Amino acid sequence: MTEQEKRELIIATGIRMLEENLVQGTWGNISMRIDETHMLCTPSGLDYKDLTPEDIPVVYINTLEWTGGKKPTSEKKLHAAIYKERPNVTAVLHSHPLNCSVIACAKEIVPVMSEEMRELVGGSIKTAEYGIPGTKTMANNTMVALKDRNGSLLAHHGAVSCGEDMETAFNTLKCMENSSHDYIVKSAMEELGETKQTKDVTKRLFLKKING
Amino acid sequence: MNNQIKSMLDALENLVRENLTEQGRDTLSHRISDSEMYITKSGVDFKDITENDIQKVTIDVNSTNNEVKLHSEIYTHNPNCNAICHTHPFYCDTISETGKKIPPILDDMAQIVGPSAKVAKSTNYSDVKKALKRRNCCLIQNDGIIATTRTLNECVTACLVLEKAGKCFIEGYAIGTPKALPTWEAAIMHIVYLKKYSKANQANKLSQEKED
Repeated sequence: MTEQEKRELIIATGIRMLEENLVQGTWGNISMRIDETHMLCTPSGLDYKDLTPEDIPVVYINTLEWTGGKKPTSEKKLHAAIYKERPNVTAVLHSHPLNCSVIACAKEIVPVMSEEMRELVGGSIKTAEYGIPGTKTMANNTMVALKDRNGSLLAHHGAVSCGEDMETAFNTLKCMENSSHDYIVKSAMEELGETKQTKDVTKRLFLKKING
Repeated sequence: MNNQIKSMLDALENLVRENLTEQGRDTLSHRISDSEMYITKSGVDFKDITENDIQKVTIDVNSTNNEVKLHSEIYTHNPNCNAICHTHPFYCDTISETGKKIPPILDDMAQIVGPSAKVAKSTNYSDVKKALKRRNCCLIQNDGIIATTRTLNECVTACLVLEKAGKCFIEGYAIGTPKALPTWEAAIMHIVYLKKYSKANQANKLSQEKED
């Protein structure tokens, strides 16, 4: 794939994330590896629908300096850490999908919910300890949770996935979001002793717990 | 149609698209000057609002219309506030019925909303003022949320982030317990967001929302 094709794929993936509700607004960031020392990283704060290929800067994985395009995401340190640790990874997605965020706030683990999850994620979905976004702490904590996995949650923040190609990274993130949803609903139903799924099951469980 | 009304219609469309509204119970206003504001007509569902449902009214703290009165009080006492939304999104509306505050369980909530979302006992300004101290948003007992922000753009974002936190707070109880960031850390995040990360961006957005 040429660098231009990677730029176009990054934009297409961002739009796809919006359409599939894996990201809201301009949040989240996407990168693709160019080679051992360079990556393409989405710029900060730009709507994926307005992004052009020329807006996407080249970032040096080892120094985080950048050229061309607009200022890259403040979370480039996280992307670089993954590329350094995983030579086979060519795409990284970081986002704040809603159901992943629920699990990330509770700092819980999503058990394996399907064979698809086992195959794509590599097992359970762990939550990395909190680190302020953009910091080395966040990147280091994420690498711990990503051990033997292709995706993890970030406490109080969101989710990250990676893959040998963009399609795999995207499918992993989507699987994490769907698995998180299924785990939340299943847990609520079990706790209420219900077998039929209803839209307000989590609301009713919450009110039951809060009101004692 | 002037640009300010168009900006309000755009914001209303975003609020509806993100499921942040509740049939006819919500109000959005935008400051014109120290003495006037645009405000949506009471009882009209945001998804049905047209230019004719956005009224130019005097900022009047003695108004007999409760929403005009509340918005007027907020504008009068908060010169940096240019947009106010009183809305009833599903998760936050549920939490507002319990009287529980939403702790800082998401770092973007801490940044944009503040170190927690407290509960005002009523829509009387004296109650709302207490709940809004050092925060952009609060819950209102049995009556949804209020977001008070520098721009319409920030208003939509604040409502979106708070509702996401509301979902995490409610659904976190299905799989564990939602965990909060340390209050001091959340408070610093909010201050840094207001003073550093967003100041220039919001100043630009305000110009765009008002210019003709």
